[in-house]
Amino acid sequence: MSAPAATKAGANVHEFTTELIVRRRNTPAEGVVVLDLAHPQGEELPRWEPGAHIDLLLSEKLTRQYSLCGDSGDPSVWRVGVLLDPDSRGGSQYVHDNLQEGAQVQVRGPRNHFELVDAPKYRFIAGGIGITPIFAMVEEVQREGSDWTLLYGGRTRASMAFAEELAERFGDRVTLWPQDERGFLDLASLLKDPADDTLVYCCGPEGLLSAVENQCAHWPAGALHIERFAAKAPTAEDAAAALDRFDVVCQRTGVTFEITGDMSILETLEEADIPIMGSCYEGVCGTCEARVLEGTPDHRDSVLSDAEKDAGEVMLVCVSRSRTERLVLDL
Amino acid sequence: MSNYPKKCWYVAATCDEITESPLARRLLGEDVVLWRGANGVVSAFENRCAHRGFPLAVGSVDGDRLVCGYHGCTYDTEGKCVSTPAQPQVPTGMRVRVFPVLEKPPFVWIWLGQPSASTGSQPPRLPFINDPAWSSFGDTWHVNANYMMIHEHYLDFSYAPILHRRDVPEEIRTMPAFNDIEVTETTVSYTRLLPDAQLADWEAEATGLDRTRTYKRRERGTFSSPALHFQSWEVAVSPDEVYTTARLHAVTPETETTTHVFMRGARDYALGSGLVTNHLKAFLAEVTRRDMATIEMVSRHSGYDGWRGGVEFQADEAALRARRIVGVMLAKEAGRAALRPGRAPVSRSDSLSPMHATTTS
Repeated sequence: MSAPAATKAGANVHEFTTELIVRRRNTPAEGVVVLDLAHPQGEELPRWEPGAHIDLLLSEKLTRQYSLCGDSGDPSVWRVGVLLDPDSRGGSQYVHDNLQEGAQVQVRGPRNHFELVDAPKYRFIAGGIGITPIFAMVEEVQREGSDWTLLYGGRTRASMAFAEELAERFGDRVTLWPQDERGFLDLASLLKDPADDTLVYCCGPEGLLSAVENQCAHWPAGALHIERFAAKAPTAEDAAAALDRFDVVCQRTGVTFEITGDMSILETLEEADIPIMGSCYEGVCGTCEARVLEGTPDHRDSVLSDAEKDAGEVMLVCVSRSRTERLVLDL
Repeated sequence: MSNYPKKCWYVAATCDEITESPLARRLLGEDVVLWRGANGVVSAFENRCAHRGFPLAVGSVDGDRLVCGYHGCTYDTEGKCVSTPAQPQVPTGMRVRVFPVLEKPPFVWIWLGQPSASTGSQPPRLPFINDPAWSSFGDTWHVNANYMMIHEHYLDFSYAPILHRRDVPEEIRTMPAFNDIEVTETTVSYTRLLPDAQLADWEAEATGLDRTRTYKRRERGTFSSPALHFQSWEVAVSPDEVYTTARLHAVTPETETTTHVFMRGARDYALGSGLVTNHLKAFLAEVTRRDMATIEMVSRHSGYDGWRGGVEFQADEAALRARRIVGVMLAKEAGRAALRPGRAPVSRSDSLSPMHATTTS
């Protein structure tokens, strides 16, 4: 036991972080590797729910988020699927090149911003590697006996991970839609009739997410759940409404910080040892979410839905700022 | 609206409580009967005969069947009525509701949500239970307060020098802030390091350590699930030799305002000593009496909404994280809402007052 740390504002708040080994690696589709990560001594890993993701801490500067796609009831292994992105910023290239069986990798999490809400019926839509969180969801709703269908698209059949397994296990519930055979996904017919008892879950590339958002515009609020792993570009309108200078009050801690143009709220709080967590620093992972007690955030993230941004109950302090001169946070 | 997630394993009873004499217990608002057949298998039914609603706990066990004490309707372990003395054929489809149970000594766990959802989930792993490196003992009690008050009470120990003044070393007049808080999607844990101090009376009597010197201490706690809290108190004799006293609380809501607690106390020193066990038992019983009296007083005076409506401290970080984990579980169970779990106002996601999380605009 070491001596108590010097007095600081609060505890070191962090997510579960550990070193795991690649117990199994395979290539279920073109350009996709699936890794089974396990504790070197076989210890149980923290429980997670479908829709959860983890960070892979690949190097000092390279942290990437990947959805968990195995069986959420199995605490002995975390499974991720990683597509080699031709425009890789380094993450998927590193995973494909270096994470062979037996390799060690530091992981952090799990966390979940794509929660599977209970419903009698589900329409799942996956594009390419977006199948990973959806696969975990399908396992769960099948177990619970809900009614569901999956529309799964990809460039070609050979590029679609788990396609065969899904079709074999779930038969008619699964519709495979390789673009070279069938063209673009027929979202219009799938989403034509809104239903009160149905939730729509979609994960995939930005083009698919936007198309599904458009097609679900006439669905009840809260029916559509999507997950983005790339930041949406801010609009000019967003930039115009932003304040250059504002105060952030950490209510529980009882201190106030002035935020100016060159520092984010998260950086300022981290520098002052206010207990808060961060991971991606670009508004996509949701780790730094803080509850807003007073004031209007200027949301810049890709996690919250428009309704959630309007509600203003929470904000992601890594990228979002303030539209009011005073922002009071539950910190 | 209740604030306990149903899709979760909770402790229903200790193994020795369930015998061939059926046991009635209210769990998460459900009236449940727990019984053990001659084959040793534990079953949990809704405590209500399918014929006239007679409490099945007043009935008796016959082999591997439960017999109602009114008309003699006899149920197998699947809850199916297999015979009724009044007529030769059992009415088609006659059965009672069955709840999934898992017996994992020292506890019997129960799942009160949709039964099919139970198969994808396991009760949290219990530390120190059935581990030869630890000596443990149990106690159970009933509290007139919402179950989250018990979790939140145990996730912030900053009241210890006030409420349990004699049980905290003399030199420690305020509890230092948490040093570390670790979160996952479903759990939160904290670690707190304490300044060097001499032994409190209970520590000296339990450990038999030298009272004239000072020791470092580390306190750790974990919210494992809405059903389980774990806490440990380590006294370091040297960097390699640590005396750990630990306890776990299986916390099971009875109703919105009452709770069953199944405690296991444990230590990794003085193994097998009946004297030390009795000493720790008496000590924890006294501490628990004060803890529960305090919680019950707030519950009577302000209710859980008053408890949670107060100003929060930094020391409440772990409790607030646990509250968010539970809030997300509840919002998921409530179904479609305009705002996703965790992004709705707190009062809407897990308040005890009537709420309409499923209402959308």
